[in-house]
Amino acid sequence: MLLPLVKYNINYYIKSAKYLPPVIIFVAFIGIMYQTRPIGIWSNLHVTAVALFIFASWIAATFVNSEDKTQQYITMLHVKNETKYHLAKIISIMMFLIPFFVFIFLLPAAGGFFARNLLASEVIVYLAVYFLVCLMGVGMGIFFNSHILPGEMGVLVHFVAIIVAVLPFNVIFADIPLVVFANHLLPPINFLADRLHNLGEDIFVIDLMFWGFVAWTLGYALLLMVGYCALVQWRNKLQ
Amino acid sequence: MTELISLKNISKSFGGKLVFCDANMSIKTAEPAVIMGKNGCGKSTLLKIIAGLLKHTGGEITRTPGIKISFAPDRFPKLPFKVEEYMQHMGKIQGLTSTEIDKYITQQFDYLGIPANIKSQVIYKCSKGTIQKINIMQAFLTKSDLLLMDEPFSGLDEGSIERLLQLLAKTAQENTAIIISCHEKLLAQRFTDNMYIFNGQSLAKAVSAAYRLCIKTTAATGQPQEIIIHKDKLNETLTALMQNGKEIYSVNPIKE
Repeated sequence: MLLPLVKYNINYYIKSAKYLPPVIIFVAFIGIMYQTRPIGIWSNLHVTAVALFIFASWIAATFVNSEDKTQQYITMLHVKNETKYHLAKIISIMMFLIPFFVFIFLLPAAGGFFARNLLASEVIVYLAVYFLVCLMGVGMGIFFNSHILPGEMGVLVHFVAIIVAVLPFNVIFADIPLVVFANHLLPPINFLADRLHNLGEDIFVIDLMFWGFVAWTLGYALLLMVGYCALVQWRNKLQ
Repeated sequence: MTELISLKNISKSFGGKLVFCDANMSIKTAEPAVIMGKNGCGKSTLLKIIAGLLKHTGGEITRTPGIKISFAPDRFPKLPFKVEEYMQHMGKIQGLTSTEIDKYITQQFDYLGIPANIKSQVIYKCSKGTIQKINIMQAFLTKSDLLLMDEPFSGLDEGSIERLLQLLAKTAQENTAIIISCHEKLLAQRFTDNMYIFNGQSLAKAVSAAYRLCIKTTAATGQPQEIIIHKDKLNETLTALMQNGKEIYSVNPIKE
């Protein structure tokens, strides 16, 4: 049942045309960025990961809002399970995003934009990071939107949440321990960006810290998604 | 008849403002019901509460677990899908195959009098009446235990109304519980005499003077007995009672 529901969700979203602004801006950004070659492997991952996070979050926020409210009721009853309905929405968003992060990986890799060829371990790191930042972006986008917080408030909170997630507060406010500590409560996007930024052209070592990042991001994204499924059902029933 | 859902003293408020209270209903298979009331009294809200789409503010709802519910809203959205495409999506979500859905679409188009070319028309470009027929089609896509329809006759021509009444009667005979909301009293009475009416903010079961009469007669014990019967059954009931030697004291219409 999930596959037909995923196909329906993606079809609906495409017909709504709400994907156009984020896709146009994202593709334009990538196109401009790749004008300067050769590009550094890790500096490229740093910048594209942050861009992909923002893009995924924007897509997710517009995706959950694309279906007409009355049609949502009809679809939920056809699905016969509201939790499955919301879960399928999340899967649909990820399926929509996969071609984009594969594209932004293949474009420089296959186009010879990098200063050197990627090692196998570096390919794994690239795809894993892209997948994880997409997941994180989807979590942020579905959690901070008008289904949970109505009207302009939802949009504003979402915007602030994205800015807070990507700014390197632990660097800007390095002398304030409380801010550095609080930074660990935020999505680990700026943590990743900071690590990649400081690598230069060194090899990215798949070590304990890498797996820590994977676990942290996965856990954080899943928490936001579960929170969304619970909160949206609670909020829908109160309306 | 099996009770599927029971509503006891259900109330609903939005932002502290009371919409309705004291809604009591027993929803049973093969016992269709109509909910009537003025605009804004809460008919649509009550249907959504019954469907589990909205939460009630007060009272108690008891549901049989796992019942399948179909819902036709009062205003079907103007969707960007073609008619056939939309029905294929909804049908596949329900587990039907493409062939089964195609067959269903053809049958329903024929039954509801929709021209075949509408299949490839985008829903938001269809007329009000056609959109309402699509709404009805998606609600009848698969057999359900409970069918909820909000203003189903709205926008339909006379022939389509007749066909919908026949379809509802047939569905009720197949053991599906049906609840509709309706403004048109005569149409509602053609569908069922099991009516609930919003009086102010309360929901009450209606007894229609046009359809119920009271007969006082002696029962087997010799004591007077009051019987409430449908107007259409009056003659046969009187004949049967007199043939059984009963004395009839009075026949009085019951006022609403």
